[in-house]
Amino acid sequence: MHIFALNHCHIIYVSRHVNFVENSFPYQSIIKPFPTCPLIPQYDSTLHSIIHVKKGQNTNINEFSNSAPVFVVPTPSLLLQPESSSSPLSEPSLSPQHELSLSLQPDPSLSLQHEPTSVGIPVIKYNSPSSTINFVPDQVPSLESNNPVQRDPLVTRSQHNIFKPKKIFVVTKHDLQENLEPSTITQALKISHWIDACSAEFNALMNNGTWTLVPRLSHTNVVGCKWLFQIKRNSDGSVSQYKARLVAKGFTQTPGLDFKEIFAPVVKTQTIKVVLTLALGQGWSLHQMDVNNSFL
Amino acid sequence: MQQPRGFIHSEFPQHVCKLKKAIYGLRQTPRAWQYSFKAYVLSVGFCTSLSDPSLFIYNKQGVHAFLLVYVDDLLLTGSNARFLHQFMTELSTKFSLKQLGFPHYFLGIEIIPTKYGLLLSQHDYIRELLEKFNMLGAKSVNTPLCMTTPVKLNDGSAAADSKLFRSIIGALQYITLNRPDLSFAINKLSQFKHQPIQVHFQQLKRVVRYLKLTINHGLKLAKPPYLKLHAFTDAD
Repeated sequence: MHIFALNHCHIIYVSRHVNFVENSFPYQSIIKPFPTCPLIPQYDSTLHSIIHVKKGQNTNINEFSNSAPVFVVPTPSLLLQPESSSSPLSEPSLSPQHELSLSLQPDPSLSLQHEPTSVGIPVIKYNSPSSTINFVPDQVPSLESNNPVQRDPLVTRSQHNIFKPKKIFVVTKHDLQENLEPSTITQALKISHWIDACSAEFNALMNNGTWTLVPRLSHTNVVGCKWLFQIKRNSDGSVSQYKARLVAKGFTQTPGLDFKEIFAPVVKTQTIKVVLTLALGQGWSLHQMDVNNSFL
Repeated sequence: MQQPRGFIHSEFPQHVCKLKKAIYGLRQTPRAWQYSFKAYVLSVGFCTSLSDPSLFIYNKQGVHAFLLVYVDDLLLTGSNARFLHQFMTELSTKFSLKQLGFPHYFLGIEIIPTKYGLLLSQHDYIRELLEKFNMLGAKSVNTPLCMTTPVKLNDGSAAADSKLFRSIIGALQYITLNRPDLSFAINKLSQFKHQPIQVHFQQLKRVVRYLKLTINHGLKLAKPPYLKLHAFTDAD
């Protein structure tokens, strides 16, 4: 860990072994609130903070490395950006603080301590009682005054005026066309031929005695149902039949509870061949039949 | 089941439908259908075949009849034409049936009567398959598999789209129904279904290209000169 410490003698201390005591803040009462200091030098506006250290005693490097106060200087990473250094504000000024701050090498581990929103409150961590601290609050410009395009290298589509309309609210208010299949029963019940189709299916189910209406029991799983709509067409594309079908949502059934076995046998291909050969050899006639509605 | 929307009973809107019969979409539907159909067929006098539960055999008073059931597709043949017609009319009163006469198309297999017997062909299915996998314009080849280099599990080439690979394999497996010449190739390529690489994919495409050349091939069921069972055994 590289820790840069500044004191009024303009000396940078670098220490590799640093103990951070993060949960205790022993000098909270001593540290004055940071007013807008008149001592603010004209320095780089992108620099967020510089910490001045006034030490009561003479300190040397050894003290610093052992028990000396540790100051974390939030070094803005913006220092590296060419446009900020080329801005007129960052022209070399006479203030020594500025020279110092420019000589600092931004450490990524230190920049973690820095929050751009906590403007004027630099993060300080220290563990020695032998120092008083005076802060020079930074002269951070607000985000509005900074040009975000300059700061952000990301190029968004909106910067190039590329906009795509949102698709979520694209719903037609117009009635469904005749050659389209409705997807919901609400849509279908607005059109006469679909009402007829639904009634036909419903009457077929009623005539078949498919169900009886019973009061709902609390312990039973009620399976949902859904209407499906389909247009049957002739080979030339003309509509031959509007077909509605009521289906149960079988996926809401629970295995073991609603049903136990669902296996239904299918034909072995060998059997088909044997039967065909048999019919052929004996000269029997073959008949194929198709069951119309298999919900029986 | 919930009451269907749009047809909710005005007096009992909170009631639910207690299903007396299976409806489309229920998980039990195929089985329920199979059971009710089976019960009826057995009551008429058919008995289930031991080797295939969907084959029903009638053998009474010298009348033989065979009924194949594939969910809602039925195939009926028998020795006595009068019995068959009687049975079919009985069936159509019980279930709503559509009589299609001589089978031309059964389970996606086209049955073509020829001078020597029947030809089972799946050319429509193969054409659909070629179209589905964009192989209609492919150059055809004469053999289903490349014989010179054996197919290995891994030879270092890049991985292929395993989902597409399995999808094509599955589609081809149905073709082996009538195409025993493809059995070996598809069996071989199925061994790499779990981790196909580009080499396997090339071989699979070769099978499809071979299919394109032989799209009209089929299985010929010749009229047997005599019906006798032949058994072959092999000592282990």
